[in-house]
Amino acid sequence: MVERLKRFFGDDIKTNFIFLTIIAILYPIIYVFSPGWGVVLGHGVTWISALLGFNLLFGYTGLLSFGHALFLGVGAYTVGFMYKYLGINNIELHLLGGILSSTVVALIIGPIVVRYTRIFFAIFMLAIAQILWSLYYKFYWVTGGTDGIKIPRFSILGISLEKLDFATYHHVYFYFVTGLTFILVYIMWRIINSPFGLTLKSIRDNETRARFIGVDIYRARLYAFIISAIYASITGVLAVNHHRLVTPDIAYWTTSGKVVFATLLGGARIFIGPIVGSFVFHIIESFAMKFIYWQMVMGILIIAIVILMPGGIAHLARTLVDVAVSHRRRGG
Amino acid sequence: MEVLKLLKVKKSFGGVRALDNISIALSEGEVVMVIGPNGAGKTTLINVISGYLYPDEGRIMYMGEDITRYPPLERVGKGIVRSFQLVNTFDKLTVYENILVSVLSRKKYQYAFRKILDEYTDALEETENILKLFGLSDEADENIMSISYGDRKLVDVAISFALNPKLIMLDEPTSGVATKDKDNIMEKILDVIRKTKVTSIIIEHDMDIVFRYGVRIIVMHQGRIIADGEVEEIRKNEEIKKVLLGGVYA
Repeated sequence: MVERLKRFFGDDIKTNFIFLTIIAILYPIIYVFSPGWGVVLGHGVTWISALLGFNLLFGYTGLLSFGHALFLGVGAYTVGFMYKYLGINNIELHLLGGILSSTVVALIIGPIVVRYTRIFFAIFMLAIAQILWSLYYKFYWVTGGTDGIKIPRFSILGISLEKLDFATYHHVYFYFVTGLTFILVYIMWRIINSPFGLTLKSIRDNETRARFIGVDIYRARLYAFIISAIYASITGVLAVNHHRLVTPDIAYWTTSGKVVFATLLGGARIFIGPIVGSFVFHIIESFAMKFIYWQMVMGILIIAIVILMPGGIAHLARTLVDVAVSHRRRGG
Repeated sequence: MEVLKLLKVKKSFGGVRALDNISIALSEGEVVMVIGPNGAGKTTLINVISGYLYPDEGRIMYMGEDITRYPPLERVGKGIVRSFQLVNTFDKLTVYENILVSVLSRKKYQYAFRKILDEYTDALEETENILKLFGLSDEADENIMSISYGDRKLVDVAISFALNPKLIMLDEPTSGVATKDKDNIMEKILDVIRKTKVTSIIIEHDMDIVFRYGVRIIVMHQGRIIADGEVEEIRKNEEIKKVLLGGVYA
């Protein structure tokens, strides 16, 4: 039979794994030269999950969420409350808690929001996210308000990391998250390449027709919404364990903006886009922060990306690879 | 056996009667062409049968079952499938994926995510066969937007056929296609209909096409059926010719 399901550069799982492996190999070298940049890579790997989740909705289902901070917040405060009220600092339990609570929240708001698309969906999500943010902000006797909830270093499988020096602790964090990210990337890749993934793309391209080939579009969107929420909450859980502080910032609209920006930077609609975007975003952010008006620098950059490379870095890379391959073929 | 039966179906938009007391019966395997000037109610007829619109009055029977109030999704599940007047495809997917998504949906795999597409060999094979049936194999890997408009029309119809319909409704499958390609596309579609023996309703604007390929013809005018019969009967009827010529070419 003819091979029809071709996957281009960046959409195949191999390129994704190779990219992550290269980062994992480079990390210790970079950390030795500059621990600061090592931590930046730590941020990069932490945010991949949220961006993959966002892109499932945006790049593959056609729903632009301006409120993904909502689910990062749910993940983050699940960790905060688990520690504050139950004294739990096991990261496995944090992850489990984050997945459960984000699923519950997605099941509550999902059936309503998936009935909207385009700007209506975007604003609806933003509004709900801001409501939750204001709760974290105002109910300070529960959430600690802007002071947040301080959490200690996490433990893995009951092994405490409290006694480690910072560098070793960070290495453990980095490789734990990288390992987890390999799994998350693989699962997401399988979802996008499954019949369900193709159904989502068909909804993205033509809602009406999708309905007339027998797809319950609200049901499909709800499933995608729940998966997206879980992925975002995982980043929420990881990020607060990285910072060891839970504050309302992670649920604020600027966090949603970051998710959108980093995904566009990497390239939506190509699988590797969000993965590349997460690292490049944090690297650029660290550079930009050296300026006083760093937000302005980021703003100019967004405009430049939208105009110069609307497909993002991944799309640019694919084009270059295509050119290189055809050159080699022509050269013999 | 009667596949479809419309009983005194009425549908108005404001003061305009789009369907006025329509009664039709279709037996299994029958191919009907519906013709009529603009605003005759042809597309409304398809909309009402497919569940896109509900009639104001009257009943729609399908395989002996009253489906008047069934939502579109349920009708698709029962084998009632339609295509649209304007090309309605999945624009960022390849020709192959456009048809595959339809095949998967019919096989109830549309929400399956435990296995990747490559493992659904039955669906992949079936997609390949449909491509062959419509003569689209060579263009399978192309993006749907990069092939000719006529071929996109064929893909549109192929998406409908991938659902294994028991009743298919095609809304002007040759509209917007260059005149020289019209025959080619109509022949391909009719060829597939003959091979699959599916009961069909084809709306057509072009009189030449209808008289060349039609067997049973329904003529609509201002929401009513003014003639229903064999092609020769219709051709001889001067009254009808006047309506059609007046409506279409005036």
